[in-house]
Amino acid sequence: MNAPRLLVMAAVLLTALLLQTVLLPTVAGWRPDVVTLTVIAFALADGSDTGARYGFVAGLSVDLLSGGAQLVGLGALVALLVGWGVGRLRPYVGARGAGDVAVAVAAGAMGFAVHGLTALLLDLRQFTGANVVQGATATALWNLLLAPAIIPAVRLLSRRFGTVDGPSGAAGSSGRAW
Amino acid sequence: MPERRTSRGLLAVLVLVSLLLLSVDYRQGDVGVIAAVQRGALTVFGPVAEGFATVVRPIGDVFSSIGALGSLRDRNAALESELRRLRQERVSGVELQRENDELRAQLRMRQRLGVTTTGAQVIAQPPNSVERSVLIDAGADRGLAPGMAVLNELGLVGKLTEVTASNSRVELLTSPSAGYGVRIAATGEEGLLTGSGASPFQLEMFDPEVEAANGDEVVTKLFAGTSIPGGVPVGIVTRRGNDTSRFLRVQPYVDFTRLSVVQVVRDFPRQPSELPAEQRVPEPRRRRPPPPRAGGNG
Repeated sequence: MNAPRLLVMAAVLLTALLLQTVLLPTVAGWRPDVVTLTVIAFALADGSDTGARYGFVAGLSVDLLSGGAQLVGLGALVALLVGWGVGRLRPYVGARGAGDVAVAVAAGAMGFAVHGLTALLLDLRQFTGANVVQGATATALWNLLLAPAIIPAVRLLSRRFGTVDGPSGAAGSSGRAW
Repeated sequence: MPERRTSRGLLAVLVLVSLLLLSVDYRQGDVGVIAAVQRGALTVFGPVAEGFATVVRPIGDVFSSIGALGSLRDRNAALESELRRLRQERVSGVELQRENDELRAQLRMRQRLGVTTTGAQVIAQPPNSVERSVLIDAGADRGLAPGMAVLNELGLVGKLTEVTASNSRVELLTSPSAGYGVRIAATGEEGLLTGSGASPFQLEMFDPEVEAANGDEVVTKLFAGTSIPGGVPVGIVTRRGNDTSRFLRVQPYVDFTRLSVVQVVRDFPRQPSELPAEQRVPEPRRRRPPPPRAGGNG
């Protein structure tokens, strides 16, 4: 994995974190999870390897930026499994379009549910049963809305800066940062 | 296929690392290495978020008005603030009435007026929807410390949990992992208020037999060992939880989805002699194992 590519991934992660902490609105108590969407997008663009790696780092960042009540490592675990799982699904999803969005909706909801249920099992007090159902639904709806924008954007960046296990359009070193 | 083998190995390693982190944090709670790393991350991310917030605030306002879809925002806000002003006058009125009946009325009144605060801007939400906290743009540099109460013009917002040099995290009143000592303004009955996320608060009265009517105001109660001043408006009782439960429901005055500027209470006059040790607020029941040293968010 070359340096410009790592930089692009870091930039995408930072942008996603800033978007969801500072800019994007809370509707009925729920905000979009842009970070997980970028995990799904990288997994769809690059495959399970990148999905798991990026997912781990992204999930860990979210954990570390959360308050003390959040269990560090849980978010990382869930995000890396989402990234890996979506990456494994990639061959069965069409190159673009509705398949991507469907995967993003399903994976987002499942990721939230797994996170919530694990937290419930560990008795973390952040979640209640109703919370998990609501949150998974909200995440699915947000993903439905945002996936059509974020997945193609990440795919474009990923192409431009070369992929690990796929054909790359331009060599990463010649890429121009936007 | 070699790719698959690498992929499996990578997956195993990352999963193991996650589980390791998870178990360490689960054991150490708020005092361990990982909590320190979290504070470090906040130190780095805080200023970045602050800069970003300054640049995008006008856009953010547009987005947050999408969040309040269907309302004529400005008119609504003006009317709401008017309503709150009136409500608040009413709260202090009821409070005063009760306190006049007691001999300590003037002392209490002076306490409430003598609060010293630092203003701060809310710059970021937590990265996940479940957590009820916000990040503000003031920290230890401006004299803030963990445990300090945070208010806005409507009432109590929450308290500081983590404080870095230039940023702090406010754990909102709605956070299920926080507990606050409160009383019903009209009767003086005391209880413990806990958040329940997006829905109204649960209020557990110390005396389960107590009668509380819908619309009764709830204010904070000064307890020894906490940094929450007494008499800060919290909300109104809306209804009993279940008929069988000891819990009341409390609708907060503060709209936690639209926080912009808050006041952190740095100091307020106290009368320690007024506070017997048994009035200490009970620690919120934290499910995570208690740390070996004294800690937590009291």
